Amino acid sequence: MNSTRRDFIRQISLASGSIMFIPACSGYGSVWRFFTEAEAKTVIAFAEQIIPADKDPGATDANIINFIDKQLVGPYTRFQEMYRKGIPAIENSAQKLFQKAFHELGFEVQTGFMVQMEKGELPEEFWQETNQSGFFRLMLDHAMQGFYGSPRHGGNTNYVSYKMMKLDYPHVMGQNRYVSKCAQQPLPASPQGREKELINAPGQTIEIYYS
Amino acid sequence: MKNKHINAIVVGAGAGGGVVAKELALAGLSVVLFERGGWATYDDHDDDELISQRTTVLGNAFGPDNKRYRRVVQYNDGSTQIVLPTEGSYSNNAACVGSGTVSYGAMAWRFMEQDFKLKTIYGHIEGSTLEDWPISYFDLEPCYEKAEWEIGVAGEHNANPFCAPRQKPYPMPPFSYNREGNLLSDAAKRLGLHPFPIPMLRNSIRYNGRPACYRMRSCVGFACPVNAKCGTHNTVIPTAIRTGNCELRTHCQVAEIMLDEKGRATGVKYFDENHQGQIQTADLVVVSAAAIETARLLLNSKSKLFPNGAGNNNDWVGRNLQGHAYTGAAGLMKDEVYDDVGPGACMAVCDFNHGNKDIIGGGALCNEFTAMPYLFSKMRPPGAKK
Ligand SMILES: Cc1cc2nc3c(=O)[nH]c(=O)nc-3n(C[C@H](O)[C@H](O)[C@H](O)COP(=O)(O)OP(=O)(O)OC[C@H]3O[C@@H](n4cnc5c(N)ncnc54)[C@H](O)[C@@H]3O)c2cc1C
Repeated sequence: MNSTRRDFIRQISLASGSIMFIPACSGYGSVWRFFTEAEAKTVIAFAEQIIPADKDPGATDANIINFIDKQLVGPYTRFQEMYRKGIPAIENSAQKLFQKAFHELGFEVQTGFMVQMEKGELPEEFWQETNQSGFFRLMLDHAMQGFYGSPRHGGNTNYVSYKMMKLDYPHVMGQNRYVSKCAQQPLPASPQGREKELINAPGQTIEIYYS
Repeated sequence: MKNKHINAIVVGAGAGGGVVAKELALAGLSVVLFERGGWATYDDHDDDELISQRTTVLGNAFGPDNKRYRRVVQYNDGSTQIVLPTEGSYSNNAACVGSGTVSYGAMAWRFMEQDFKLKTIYGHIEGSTLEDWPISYFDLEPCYEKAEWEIGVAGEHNANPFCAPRQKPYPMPPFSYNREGNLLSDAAKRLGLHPFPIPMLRNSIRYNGRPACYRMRSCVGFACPVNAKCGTHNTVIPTAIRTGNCELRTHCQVAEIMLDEKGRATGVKYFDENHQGQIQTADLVVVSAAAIETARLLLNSKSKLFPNGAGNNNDWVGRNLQGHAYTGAAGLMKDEVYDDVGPGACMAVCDFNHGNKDIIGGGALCNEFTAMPYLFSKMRPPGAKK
């Protein structure tokens, strides 16, 4: 990446207040790092089954696909083969049973399909190389990691799962809950009297106070 | 460049090694403390659950890394498999300055008197190699006290009626209970049990120049952001280095203990941070590389007198590994019991340590450390829908 491009990315990242990820080429003309567009559709539908959106956000809102995709070219490189073989096996099973792609099936039908998959009851002919209940458990686990893990790994966008659990996000530091002399002193309402430093970054101003 | 001959080598800068290095350095010996990992700080991974000591799915926060360190597991049928440090069967503790004491839950238990004479009390147990210790609680009591004051423990003196006799109180007052601790404590009292605050290696007040704990939920499995958790990395190891007698060599893995004709240790062979083979000689070699690596190092140190590894002429080295039996029970409560006051564990009973009919040994019962969201997602009440 040349320096102008890097600077540009840094600027738009700062401007939008978040870190942008530039997808590495997956070799399939896909926006994903590892998955093809078609594979991603299967995984998105699968993850949404594991964590469906209801009154709270679900897998798609949490961008779990991005988490799994990112890990598959990182620490989870060793699971690439399982996904590359398992996803076609899901699609072939769906075609045989319902003549449709998995993501096109109705929600209830998908649920039934996955119950079968977990029990190892999908048509065996497509599952010679991959263990279907094993692949089910792997995707289940990865979806949970993406939903509950730190947003820095690509999922849990804006800490959606933390909000659902009513946990503070990001972690509030300095909750001095036991009684100490300094905790009894009320904090100044305004940052008056504190040294203020302004950092000007493209698109935003950050104020840092030193007490 | 050849290394200068020194008085003592300590292998492993963890719980044991840190303490030994400090004692030797204070006594005026020249010491080299070897550690295969580096310094681990909170900033490296902060409260990232997926790279912590409790869930290592995306990596080991406290080492070792997957590239340089692998183990071969041999199963009962003789088959073998290579495992990575982030995989369960590696049985990883940690590999960094302070080792497990950086990320531990920091409960500061002493052995009870009975723990030193299990065979005398319980007799021979079929299928076990249970033995009494050659020392008693009272041999160790002064050392416990010294460690509690030097490293720092917060607890309530004599609040646990089953605790072995203690000469001196803890250096810091105990932590208050969180909501679930209060509930459990009341319930335990109603059952006639004897709850008490768990002695903790965390500062409840400013101590040793470090601040008090502010009770984060991400404590066990993580480094402390404010350095309120007390380990060897922020107590005895810095003290050892300050004497000027102790050199800490990080990212150096000791590969073999060198032995002379008489079977005495003369030094170690090790790989430095650039993975170059090096030799360090010393009058004394202390191996404190934790249960598994210590045994492995001894087994890899063959000599004429010890063809099967140092100290292994009776084939006992590396056998009788004692794991940490840690089991739990969970229940659904009518009301909210979670108040996000870390580290979770705060209350214990020792009524089931020894002296119970039909129980060999027994153990303490405590409330659990806060489970972070991903770990917690694996828990489901019986019969609940997925
Ligand atoms: C998540 C967690 C929670 C825990 N909670 C508690 C608790 O609440 N209370 C409690 O008492 N204990 C707790 N422990 C256990 C405690 O941390 C360990 O029992 C203790 O650290 C073991 O001490 P050690 O000196 O035997 O080994 P370690 O402390 O593991 O030290 C061994 C050191 O040697 C290094 N090493 C190994 N081989 C080599 C080599 N060849 N060359 C160079 N260096 C080498 C390692 O990298 C390591 O740093 C916990 C541990 C963990 C992981």
